[in-house]
Amino acid sequence: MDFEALTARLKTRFPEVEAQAAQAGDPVLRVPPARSLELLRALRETPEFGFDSLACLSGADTGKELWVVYHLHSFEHRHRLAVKVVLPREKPEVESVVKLWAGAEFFEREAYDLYGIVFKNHPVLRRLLLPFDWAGWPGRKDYVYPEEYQGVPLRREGQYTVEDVAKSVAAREARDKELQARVAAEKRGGAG
Amino acid sequence: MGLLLNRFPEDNVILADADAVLNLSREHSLWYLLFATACCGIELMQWGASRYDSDRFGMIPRATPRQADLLIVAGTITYKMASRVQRLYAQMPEPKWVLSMGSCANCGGPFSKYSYSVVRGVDKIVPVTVYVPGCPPRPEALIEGIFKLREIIHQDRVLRKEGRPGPPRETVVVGAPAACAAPAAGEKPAQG
Amino acid sequence: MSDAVPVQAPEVPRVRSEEMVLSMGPHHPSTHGVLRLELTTDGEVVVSARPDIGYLHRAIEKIAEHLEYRQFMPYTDRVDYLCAMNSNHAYALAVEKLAGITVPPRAELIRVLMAELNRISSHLICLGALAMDMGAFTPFLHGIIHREKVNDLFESVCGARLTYNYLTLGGVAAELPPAFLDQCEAFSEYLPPQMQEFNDLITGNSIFQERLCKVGVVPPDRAVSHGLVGPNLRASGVRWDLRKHEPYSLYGQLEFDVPVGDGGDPKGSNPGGRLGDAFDRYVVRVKEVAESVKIVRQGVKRLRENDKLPESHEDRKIQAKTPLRLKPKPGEVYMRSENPRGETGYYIVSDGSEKPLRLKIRTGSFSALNCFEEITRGLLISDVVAVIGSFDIVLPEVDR
Repeated sequence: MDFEALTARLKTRFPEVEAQAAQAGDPVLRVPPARSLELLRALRETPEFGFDSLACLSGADTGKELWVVYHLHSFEHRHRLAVKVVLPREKPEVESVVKLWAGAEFFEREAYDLYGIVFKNHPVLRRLLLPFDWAGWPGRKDYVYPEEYQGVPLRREGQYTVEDVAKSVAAREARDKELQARVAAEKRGGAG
Repeated sequence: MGLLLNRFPEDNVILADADAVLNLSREHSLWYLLFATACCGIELMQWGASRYDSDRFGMIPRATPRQADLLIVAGTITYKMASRVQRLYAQMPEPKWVLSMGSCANCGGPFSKYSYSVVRGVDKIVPVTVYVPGCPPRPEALIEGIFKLREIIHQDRVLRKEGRPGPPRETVVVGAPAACAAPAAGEKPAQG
Repeated sequence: MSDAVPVQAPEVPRVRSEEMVLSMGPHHPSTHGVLRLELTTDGEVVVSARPDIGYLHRAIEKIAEHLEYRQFMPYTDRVDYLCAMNSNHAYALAVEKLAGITVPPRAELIRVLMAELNRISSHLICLGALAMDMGAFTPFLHGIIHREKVNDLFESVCGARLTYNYLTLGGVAAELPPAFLDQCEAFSEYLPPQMQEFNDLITGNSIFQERLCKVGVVPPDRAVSHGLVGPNLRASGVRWDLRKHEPYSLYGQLEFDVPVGDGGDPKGSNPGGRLGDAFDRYVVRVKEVAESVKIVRQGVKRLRENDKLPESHEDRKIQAKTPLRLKPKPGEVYMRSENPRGETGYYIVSDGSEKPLRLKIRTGSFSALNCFEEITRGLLISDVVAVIGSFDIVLPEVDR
């Protein structure tokens, strides 16, 4: 089944889902967080859908909201589907799908580790990739890099940081603009 | 043995500098700890295996730091791993040397600008004797690093009393042209 | 008169066994990289083996959000360095799908050839390292010798032995050197008898088989649920290869088989084992090397035909016209390709600017560690080493 047929079949049971409009790439199905577990269970257990494989589960941060994106695949019917759940930044909570696909355990722990998305009813929700006493959610766009960790500084002496690079780029662009303005003024002064 | 075999007409006593004999035995039988983290680890394994045989230099890998006298840090060191590297270094008995292999161990490598979890250079956590640049360095570069390390070991004066220290242990950058000197600590790097 | 007092048998205390928590790693000669396992053992029997990862987490996905699309290519090498060409290929495919770039035929041929050569060299290291973990050091040296020949081929093409950065978005970076196709063909003639020698050395060895058969069995339904991919999935009996069933690049036109595990089958290659055990995973990889040699031969033949076209012909180009600062239209894509370790999927979200909004790399070794705890219950500690080696786990892929 292709995306349109899947969406049409799902809308009969879950009228809240909507297909996301995109200019490029794959089509994605958006579902509100309250009904995500039900929808995914239906996708897995209904024979006509039969999505028995979770290809990928990712967290994402657009700067305004947090996403959890499920990429599903069916070995039986050989079709694929991408399902996206959009979460508010202040309280990102969604139901865990570990009971449906055992492979989601590590994926959800990673999303929690990097983005702070809480998966309810996850058996072991703790940090996976970062040390257990790490502070903050590094995947988020507003993450501030720490100055040091356990006494070891983050930068080498004299190394530029991301902020230094941005400052020097901004300074150079300001200088260029000023130079161009001066050249234009001279040309106008010379011509006029 | 080839220089001395069947050479003298009668029994002999050979006089040599005690330090030279000690250093000779130390530098020609450096047993390295099998410590491989990332891509440089594969080059380390290939350097120790069939084509670039490290065994012909007297260097064999040891699994435990208690039996090793050279720690070749091959690969990226993250904050989570840093305490383990220090523990391994502490478990090695004297005399011990550290060879930093690859860009990531030298200075953080390609991850030194935007990563939040990489230690920018293993010399922040253990004292390094030789740096071998490369990403990953070729096994031939690593062999040259070992030769530089041998020269440094040769300068050691083990038997002198305190108060008459031998020449300082210098840190050498392998493959860098002589004119390019690293800036001293505290000096600002060149702008640009 | 005997003063003998009847001796009472002393009370034998009930034998208690305590569980011991052991930390295996992160520095361990047998874990393939910096993997830490929290083993809870009852004597020698493992009660639970929980993987603790993140010792090589270098924030590659966060770095991608600061770099332009073409600047990110060298980092894909470092995600899985044993098959760097395949990793490059996976990223290039995803970005090309998102931006709608068509790759010229010659570049596709070269990519497929490089990918299969790298698959061979990656499997050689995996098989050699598994044998070394089981205590046999010689097969590892054999594997490295053959891998060095592939390294020489790659070095003549792009100058690097391990991290190539050879593929670009829209093609490959450089033309093949003149003698390359002959050397490739010579390698494809050289390898099969060497693999036969390798098999004679270790595959039929009864000690090797004792250590791997019936160890770490993953039933097919659990394999699918845990998200196992690649040779690990095929060893559990599920016939699924992205090159055959979701063909990308030129794989739809090439002929090759997909080896599947057949443990327990008396006529198969694993008669003494069970479906989905470690020996199945080993045998699947050995057979895949032979299939990749087939593809290399077909690739060389097609490239020779392509060489006959005149230099200025459209089909002789190695790079499609792509803007230097690629700005794909807003959208997202999930593209997966078959790495030696399984499916490598790139989930890229673009917001119309030259840097991706989100880039996620989904790798096969991550799922292999996911199912680790479940299948190592009740094994001996030495079997845990066999299971790690048979899954072909490469830690930078897991931690990114």
